[in-house]
Amino acid sequence: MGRSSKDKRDIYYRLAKEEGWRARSAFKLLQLDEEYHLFQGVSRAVDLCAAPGSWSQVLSRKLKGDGTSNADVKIVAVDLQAMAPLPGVIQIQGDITKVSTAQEIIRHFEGQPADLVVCDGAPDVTGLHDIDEYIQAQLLLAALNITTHVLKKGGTFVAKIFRGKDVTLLYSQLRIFFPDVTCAKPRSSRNSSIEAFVVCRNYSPPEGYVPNMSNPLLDHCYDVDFNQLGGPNRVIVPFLACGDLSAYDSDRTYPLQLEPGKEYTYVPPTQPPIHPPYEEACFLKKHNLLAKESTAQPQQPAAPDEPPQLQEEGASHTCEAELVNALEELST
Amino acid sequence: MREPARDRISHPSAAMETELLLAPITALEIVGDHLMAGEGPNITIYPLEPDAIQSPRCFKQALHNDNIHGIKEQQKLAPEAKEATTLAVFGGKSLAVIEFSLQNSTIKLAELFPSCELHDWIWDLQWLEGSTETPPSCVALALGHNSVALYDCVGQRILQEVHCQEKCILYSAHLVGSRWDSLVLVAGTVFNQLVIWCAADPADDTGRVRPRGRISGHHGVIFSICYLESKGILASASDDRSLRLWGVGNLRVLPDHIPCFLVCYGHQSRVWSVRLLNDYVVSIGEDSACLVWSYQGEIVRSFKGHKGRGLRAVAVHESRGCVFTGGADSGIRCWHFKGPGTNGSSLLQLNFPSPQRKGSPRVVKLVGAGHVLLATDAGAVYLFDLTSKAWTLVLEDAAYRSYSLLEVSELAGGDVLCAMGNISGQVKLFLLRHPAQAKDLQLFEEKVHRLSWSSRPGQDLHTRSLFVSGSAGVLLWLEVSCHPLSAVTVVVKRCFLLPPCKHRWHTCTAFLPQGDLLLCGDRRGSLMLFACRSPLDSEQEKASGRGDFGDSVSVTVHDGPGLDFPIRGEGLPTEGPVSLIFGLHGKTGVTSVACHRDFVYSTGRDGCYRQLQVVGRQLRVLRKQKPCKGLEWLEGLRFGSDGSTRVLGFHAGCFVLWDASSNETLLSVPCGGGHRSWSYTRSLSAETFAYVRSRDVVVHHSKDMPNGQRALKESLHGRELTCVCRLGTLRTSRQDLVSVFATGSEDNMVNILAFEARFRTLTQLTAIGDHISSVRALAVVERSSAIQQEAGSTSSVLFSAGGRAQIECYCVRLSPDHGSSSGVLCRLVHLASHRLDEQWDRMKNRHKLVKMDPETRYMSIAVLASPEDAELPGPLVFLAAACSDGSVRLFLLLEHSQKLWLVAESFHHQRCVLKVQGFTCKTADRGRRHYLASAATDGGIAFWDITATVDCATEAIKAEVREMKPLALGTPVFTIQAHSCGVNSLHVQERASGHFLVASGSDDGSIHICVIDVNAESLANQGTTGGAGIRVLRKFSRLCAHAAHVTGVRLLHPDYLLSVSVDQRLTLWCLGEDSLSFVCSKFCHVADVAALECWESGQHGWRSVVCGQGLEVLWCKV
Ligand SMILES: C[S@@+](CC[C@H](N)C(=O)[O-])C[C@H]1O[C@@H](n2cnc3c(N)ncnc32)[C@H](O)[C@@H]1O
Repeated sequence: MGRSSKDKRDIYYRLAKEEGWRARSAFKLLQLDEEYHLFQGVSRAVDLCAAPGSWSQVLSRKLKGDGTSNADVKIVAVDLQAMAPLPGVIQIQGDITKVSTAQEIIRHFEGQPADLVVCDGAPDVTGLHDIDEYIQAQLLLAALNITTHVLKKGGTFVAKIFRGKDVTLLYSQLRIFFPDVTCAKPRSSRNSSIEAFVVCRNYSPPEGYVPNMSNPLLDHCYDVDFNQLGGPNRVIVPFLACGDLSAYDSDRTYPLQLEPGKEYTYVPPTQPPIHPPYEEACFLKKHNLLAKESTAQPQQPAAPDEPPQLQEEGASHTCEAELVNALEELST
Repeated sequence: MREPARDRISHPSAAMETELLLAPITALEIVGDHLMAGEGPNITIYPLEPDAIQSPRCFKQALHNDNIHGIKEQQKLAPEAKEATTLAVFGGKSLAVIEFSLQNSTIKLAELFPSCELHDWIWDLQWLEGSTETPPSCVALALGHNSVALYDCVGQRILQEVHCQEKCILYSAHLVGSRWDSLVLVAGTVFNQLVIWCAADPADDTGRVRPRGRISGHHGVIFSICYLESKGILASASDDRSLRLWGVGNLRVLPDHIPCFLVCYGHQSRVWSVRLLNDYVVSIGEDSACLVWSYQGEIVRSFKGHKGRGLRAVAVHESRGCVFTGGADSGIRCWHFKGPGTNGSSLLQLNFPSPQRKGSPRVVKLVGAGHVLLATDAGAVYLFDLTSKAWTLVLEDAAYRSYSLLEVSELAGGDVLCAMGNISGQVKLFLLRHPAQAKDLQLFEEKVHRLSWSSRPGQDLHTRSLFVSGSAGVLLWLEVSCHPLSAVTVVVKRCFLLPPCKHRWHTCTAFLPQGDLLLCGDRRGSLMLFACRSPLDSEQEKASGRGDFGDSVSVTVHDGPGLDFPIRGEGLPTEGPVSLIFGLHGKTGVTSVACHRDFVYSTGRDGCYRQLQVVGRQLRVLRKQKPCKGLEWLEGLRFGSDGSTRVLGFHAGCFVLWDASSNETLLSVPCGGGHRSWSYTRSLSAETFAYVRSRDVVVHHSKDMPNGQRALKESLHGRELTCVCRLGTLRTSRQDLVSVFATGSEDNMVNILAFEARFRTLTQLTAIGDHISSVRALAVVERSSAIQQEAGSTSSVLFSAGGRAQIECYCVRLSPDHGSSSGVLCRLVHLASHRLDEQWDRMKNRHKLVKMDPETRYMSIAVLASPEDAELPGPLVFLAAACSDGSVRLFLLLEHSQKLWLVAESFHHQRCVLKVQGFTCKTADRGRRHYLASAATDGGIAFWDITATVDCATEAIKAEVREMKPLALGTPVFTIQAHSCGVNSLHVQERASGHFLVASGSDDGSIHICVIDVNAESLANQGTTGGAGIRVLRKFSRLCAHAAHVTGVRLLHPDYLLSVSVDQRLTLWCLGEDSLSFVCSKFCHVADVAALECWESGQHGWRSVVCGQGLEVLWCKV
């Protein structure tokens, strides 16, 4: 299978490349905006967990309009990973769960709070759902904690959420700060994906609430007496599907030629990741430098135990392919 | 297993109970002579002794709704209380304390302190010694936000919590020390650093403790940390796929600069865990490999055997030299990493080249386990004794120079019969004991293409059959006898003729058990049967003629068929095959044939082996199996007495022995490939493999179990389960009820599993590996005959479908079986396959515009109750498929021609179709009307009347139409907007009232019910104009029924509905006129729930299977 097979299987991955977005996630924010008009009256925004930067691209286009430089616009983008520069976007590299990073963000909004905080944070997925959901929840709570420091009253907070076993605990936590919490799923997110976005509007912290950086917010626990674990009393917020129904369907397989008369051409990714963690391992693998079993014992053949997915992709599971795939991994 | 009352019941009259759970193994710990495994919230104990009974001895649910990630034994100060030990079991935010005791070899697990929940995630736990500040039974806990808590197990409360100055989330943490005042935490952060700090260090003015040290170097998140005090070494494993060893010395007295003295890159993917031993370092990873490293950074051993994606837990018993690994596949395996060289295997080069020996090796054969026989290109035959390491010249014949064949057959009593063939049509026969008495037969005028020995059932112990292929497809059958005291006797039994083709010679032979048919494979990939006995046989066997075999006189030759030797030209009294499957294994040929139990097996260089049956002297393929990707040349099968099947083959340049039952490589020898001459034997527990390489012979010999591994618990699937479908319930001869169901997975496999309710065991009956991409949907229709039902067996047609637009279809027969552990015998016959791309290729030339994308995924399939028709031999089976390219397709199974025929399709939805269901209703005139419900990612459900299409296809079958362009399925009768986004579950049920209930669940968390009226009477009057008689009576929704995708809904008689969701709740609802009311709900332990299957079991009781990241069987009763 060639490099176009991914284009066939994931229409938004392909469109992102064709439209110059750094990741397919851009469409998620755009579709959320279609429903919630997130950017109305917004000139100061924080983009948490921003790499490779497609949300920042969207923010930058939406807040600045077409080129007319707006002096009031301020966009601060934060991520663990290095991100290629974007004009007019202030970048911070750091862990959003760390106090020092949070303080650095807060400093940018002292005196002039932000109108919008978005967070598309996803953990380094381990495949064990309980761990992944826990860490994702901590990213959301860290983002919420930063939000309590920088967001103006009445402002909006949008964050990725994994709808797993304990998601209702997060809803009840968010409800404390926002009277209006909904769970939204843009049509560009796959049906099978557990990700969705909480859109929390009209920031109204509890009376007398003093934001506290040093004690992070923790997720709630089930109220055993209230029988929340298995009972009917879980907090489930309203759900909204976002994006036009006539938009492309992220689950559908499309032919390469989308419209008659429009030839398909392969477009490389807009912005491959900068120094991804697996860079060195990939280099070693490509040059056959990974350590091998060293004794007389014959080597294990590589393929018999290879995961089937890789088999399907064919032997071309090279590092380049991996780098390219990384783009999608970031935005599944 | 009993669930704690609080999450079992919330409705006075309903109960749900977990009967079985298979989940990723997330914790392993060795305690004394036992292995403790954490699987979901359950702890299971296995004996370490390999001889002990394999089945686990004890099992207990330790946590409520968290998975176990760690088990820690409390070190005893006083060894007198030896029979009982205390274990802390933790995972997520939960912690429980359990007592493990062993009395008179019975194991007991008792809860000392029940599971309780903390405010944060527990990454690690360490038992503490009691002291003045710390009461006894205290543990230190490393928590999610880089803090350490002192927890009192007795009082069940946190006495103290200390935070580090570096406040952030962790991905791993490792506690060192057994006293609070000397406790050290090594924390693994997301910003690639290890942060080292001491819990008892003085806090700063904000109440936080300053780290004593930081270690940087990794390029990714830290997933695992281990410290070995005796060496002062700290190890870390990371997202960057490396593990690193750091010379920290005493953790409490860190040097200014912490040297990294080893960086190990060896895993193909991320590294999940690392353990330090005295002499080795062990790591496990996402690549499913367990690597054993030396402290020099070399990989000493590497183990692979788990299915699919990743190992999750590891425990090492260093003195026994074994590693235990637990996988995401829910399997547990034991591996031995110690021993001379590696697992007692050795590679011996025989050093053949020498001035005394002639030629270079061409053909090598192992004789027994102790000798190697060798033919050289100088026409010499040598014997090598593996014990004395001595060479003997057996014989030399210039006629066998440059081209020679050599085949051996061992006779009872240790005699070895050898046959050689040469370029000029001669065959030499001799006993290895008496090479001087070799007999030469001039059989043909031209080259002997192939020789093979077989023993015929009923033949005496000193007789073997030799098959010789000459030119023009002549296959000669000789019976060779060598009774100890008499000379070699040869009887020419028969002369067969192979089907015409370019390379027209046989490759392998075997007699069927009755001895009346010969099974034969040829170079063209064909498989055939020859009749061994004709009506005249008995006559002929007595009559014997004498052929002219050239100068050898002392051989008695009885020529049955009356041939002239050497055989030449045409007009021979030859016989063709009685059954032939031409080119079954493709152009690269058949490599072996074998009979086992009632089946026939063949292997080929097409990477597949096939299971066949002989019915009425005809060969019939039952299944094709591809043992593993990359094993392109299969050379043979070996059947174990334990029911195991081993496959011999070549994977690139390696000879591989593959266990098809456990799906693992048992042996792999890099010999350079299968083109060279090779030979393999297995005796008792030793494997010997000899091959020719660079003008020499190399012998690979391995003792003990290859790889020294053993499965303590079998694997389920290598990746997530996507679908489940019940096949039937049987009563075994022991009167136990066994439910059989099929599961499909992203690992491209379908497993057939048997669940026995009384002992709550699950056994895999068989696995289907025909899919080339993930399996996403299963559907079944029962077809048992009255006789079968009487005998307590069932027969059904099973369909599986998934990625790359592939559908497979099987007949599955289940019957009670006394012998097997599951009590059920499962026989599978492959009926048909369909791939859109194949259909596409066929159609492309004729019809230019066929909208079929071979990348299409089948998301869901449903079988349509087959209409009976007096003019057809059996009921027709239709299959509806929901496709990712936006279409709904209808197929028809043509059993006789073993095909699935694409009957009709529609692109109405224009979006990915997620679900499809079919339903049928009887009309007044005893006809039927057929409907489909299909649902897509936009939340809409479309209803189709497909009666006309079904009728049209039925007519075409009657008229024996061979091929037809797919019909248009047209447009649906009506569509309802049931949900705001994707429909992830759909179920249609007929009510006693004649109405149909349609239940659906969605990504938006809602459940929708719609009641449909099909007015069959009015339809009957209207003739075939469909649709008018179907309408929606009522519909209603339950929003926020679940907090995530509702991936399973099942309507249950009389008025219940069971739903399951990715939020891990299984909920029972009561169905009202226009609402659903909550009855009860249960937390289920399977993450990413993808499917639900239910069936009635007992009065007002249902058994359900939930699958996703694992599998759970539950019982629910109202
Ligand atoms: C799905 S990607 C974001 C994509 C981005 N919104 C875009 O449109 O390009 C998730 C990001 O979360 C970041 N992340 C994960 N954990 C983090 C943490 N603790 N602090 C900061 N960023 C984090 C990852 O580095 C990753 O780049």
